[in-house]
Amino acid sequence: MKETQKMQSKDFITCGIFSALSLVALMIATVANITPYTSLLYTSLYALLNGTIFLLVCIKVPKSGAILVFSVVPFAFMASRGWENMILAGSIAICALLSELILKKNRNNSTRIAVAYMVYTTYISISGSFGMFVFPDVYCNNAIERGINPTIVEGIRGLLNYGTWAGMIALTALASVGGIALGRSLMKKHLHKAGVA
Amino acid sequence: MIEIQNLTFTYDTGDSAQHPGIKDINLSIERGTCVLLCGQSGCGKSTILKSLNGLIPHFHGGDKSGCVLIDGLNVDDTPMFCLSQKVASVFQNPKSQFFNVDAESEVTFSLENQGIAVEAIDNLLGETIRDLGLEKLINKSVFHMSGGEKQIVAFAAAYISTAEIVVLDEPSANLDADSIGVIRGILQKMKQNGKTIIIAEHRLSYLAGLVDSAYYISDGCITQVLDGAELFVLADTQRKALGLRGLHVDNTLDLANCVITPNAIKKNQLIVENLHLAYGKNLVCDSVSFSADSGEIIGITGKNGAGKSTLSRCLCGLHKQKSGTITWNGQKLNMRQRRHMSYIVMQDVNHQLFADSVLNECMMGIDDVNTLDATAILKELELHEQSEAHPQSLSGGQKQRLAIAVSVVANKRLVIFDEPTSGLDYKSMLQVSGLIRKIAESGTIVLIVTHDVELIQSACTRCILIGGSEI
Amino acid sequence: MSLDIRTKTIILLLVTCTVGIVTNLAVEISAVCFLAMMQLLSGKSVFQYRLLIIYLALVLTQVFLFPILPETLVMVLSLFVVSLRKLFPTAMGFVWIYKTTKVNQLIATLTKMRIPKGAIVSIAVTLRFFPTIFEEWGHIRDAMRIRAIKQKGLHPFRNIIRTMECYCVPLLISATKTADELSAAAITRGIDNPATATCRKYKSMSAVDYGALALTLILTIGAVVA
Repeated sequence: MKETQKMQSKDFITCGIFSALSLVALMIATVANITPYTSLLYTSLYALLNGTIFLLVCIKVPKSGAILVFSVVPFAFMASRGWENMILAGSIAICALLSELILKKNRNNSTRIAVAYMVYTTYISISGSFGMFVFPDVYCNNAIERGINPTIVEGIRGLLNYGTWAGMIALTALASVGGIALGRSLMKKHLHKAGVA
Repeated sequence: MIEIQNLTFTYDTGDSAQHPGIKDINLSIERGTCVLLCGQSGCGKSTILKSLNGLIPHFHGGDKSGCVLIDGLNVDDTPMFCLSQKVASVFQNPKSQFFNVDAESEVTFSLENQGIAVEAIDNLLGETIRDLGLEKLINKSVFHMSGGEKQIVAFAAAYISTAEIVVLDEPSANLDADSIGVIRGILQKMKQNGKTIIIAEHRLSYLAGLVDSAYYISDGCITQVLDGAELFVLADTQRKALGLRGLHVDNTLDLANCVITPNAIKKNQLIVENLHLAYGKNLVCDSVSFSADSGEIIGITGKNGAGKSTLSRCLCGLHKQKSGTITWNGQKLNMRQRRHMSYIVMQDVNHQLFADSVLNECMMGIDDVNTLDATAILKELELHEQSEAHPQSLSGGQKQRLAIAVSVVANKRLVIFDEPTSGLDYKSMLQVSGLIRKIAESGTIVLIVTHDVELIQSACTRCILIGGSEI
Repeated sequence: MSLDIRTKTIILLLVTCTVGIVTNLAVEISAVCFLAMMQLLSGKSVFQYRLLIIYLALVLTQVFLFPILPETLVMVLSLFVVSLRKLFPTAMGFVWIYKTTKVNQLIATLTKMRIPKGAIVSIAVTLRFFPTIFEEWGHIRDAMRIRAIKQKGLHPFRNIIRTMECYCVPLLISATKTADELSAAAITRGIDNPATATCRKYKSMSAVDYGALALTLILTIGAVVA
């Protein structure tokens, strides 16, 4: 088969299918947003679930631009959800580009993939809760005005400091490594043996 | 018009056990003729077709020698999008060849990709809808279509295309008699329009009168060339020796002469009374009643949409009945109990294989089973040598046998098969039939949901027609 | 009434931005009602009366029940009720767009907007494959119900992992296989033709579109200023 370095239709289709799976992972992780305390785990959960999918994309489409195409659908999804999510959309673009740069030299190196993914997931850990942590007062006042009980809001306010944010980002980074590790073990146990990847 | 010269090809992935490739194929096909490639599963029919539509070498890697010329163009040197304008393709699996979300886009897809003007496309679409009678189908969404309807849309896409050559890879695999009638009509029209048709098939009966020449492929080589008329007058013994399916449409189920008698060891009885099945507000099945004893193999047949799948899911405990009872040895069963004692071998077995090795698949989740028992069962089903292999790396037939092995290990007393022989050649169909009879001998009640008349005749003790009267 | 996809997206964006900035409940209710009206104008089947009823129930709970319930109960409930309520404008908008947009129209519009073909193919495939995932999930779930997966002797955590594995693996394998088969089918239909594809279903923005946009803009400004 003629292997070219440029993305072909087959690659776009593969990325599209895995984007669909990525959206499902996002939907599952959103369950964590039920309470503000567990919502701190939302990005880590997403990083964990999405790791396998990211890894599969890297392996099945070892070409420049795969991650960018893979991010197109989440980008469009976020961008269409409103202004707060525009930041998310913008950061997906940035993080996807950064991942591409990291992977440019060598797409097969497992450490590089793990690092690229760690950078990739920062899009959601940093910008997902950007509003909350950078403008906590505005966020909390909004919450009270919308009708959430002030006592609860005060409890949340205690969480909204840079320390927690840093903790969340660190946890997400850890979870992303875990996600890739999970992906690798799934690949070894099942997908390699099945001859699929 | 089409010339294949000394074509040899071997796949370079680990699939070589399932797809051994082809050797020294020499073939010449005239414009406007209909050519049939037949033979047993894995003989190389699909490989030849893929060499014609360009998937080999542009999509599937491997070792290729020899050349394929289409109207003088060498397939190796011509990019796929040019080839797609000369060769249209219809594949076996309707689900995964449907790119768009609605029928109309799917039909016009190949034309749009070429950048043909909107008016021209509209005209061609109008003609196609009129010629093929697609008025009702054209606005449906793919998610609301049956397999047969999806396949008809795929045919329409090939019909409308500018390509003069149409390549079809077992297009009738999952279809019922009605849909097959429709695609036969479309093939006739294509031939009338002067298209060259190359079709690989197991189910030959619907092609009678269409085929100009037939090539029998075995182990990657063309071993016999027959004139179309010759093929369809082959004696039954000759046909069976070649491993080909029935050559004539035989819709009458001749069960009076059925030799299979139930051979029960344990006496279990399943009684279904007045079962009404519905999906939400739509009534699917009305007043189904029948009984079954140990060792019986009952075929359930009927038109698509008549409710066969719903019935089988309900019997397994996956679907709640609207009203009616299901009794096992005198005891009424609720859904959970039905799930516990029954098993369904799905049409797509991939959905029910979970473990990372064949042996683990048999032992997973089932209490009180040890390795020896599981291995014995695997030996009986000829899967022993693949004990350490991943279930997903097995061939279709092997996966089916693995699903059956799981049901045996789990001691399921009621096993339902959902279209077990769609797309299988004669020999494989007989193998499946033998397997089903073996299971029944051990006292299990077997129900088979199928369109395959030959399977019913070779395996079933009784047959139930859904959407009509009981036989 | 059928609006262009761009109009609908811009309307959705305007509405969600407004609701995001302004915390007034009245504004949110009017936004949801506005979108409900858009749904109704687009067709009876598009109109999500069930969503509307749930939304009204949430609003009524917040406005009438909260003042009379004990503090502790309100504390717990308020979070759920408000978080859920906040999602409704976006949800109504998304359902509206989803139910009124044909994918081929979306593809045609994106192609006319000169978006790179690769991105369009990806989006088209995602939209095509997304519902299929749930169908596959259903089949896998059926298969898992029919046979036991959990082992009695195993630690419950390991059983959970095993269950998740049983869901994920067939899904991933099916996704990879579908990717291959779909690509083969698409290539044989000329998807990698470098020529510009015909945008057969493309409809340019009409007066109705501009009218709807203008209306939404006026309402947005009114809501923000008021």
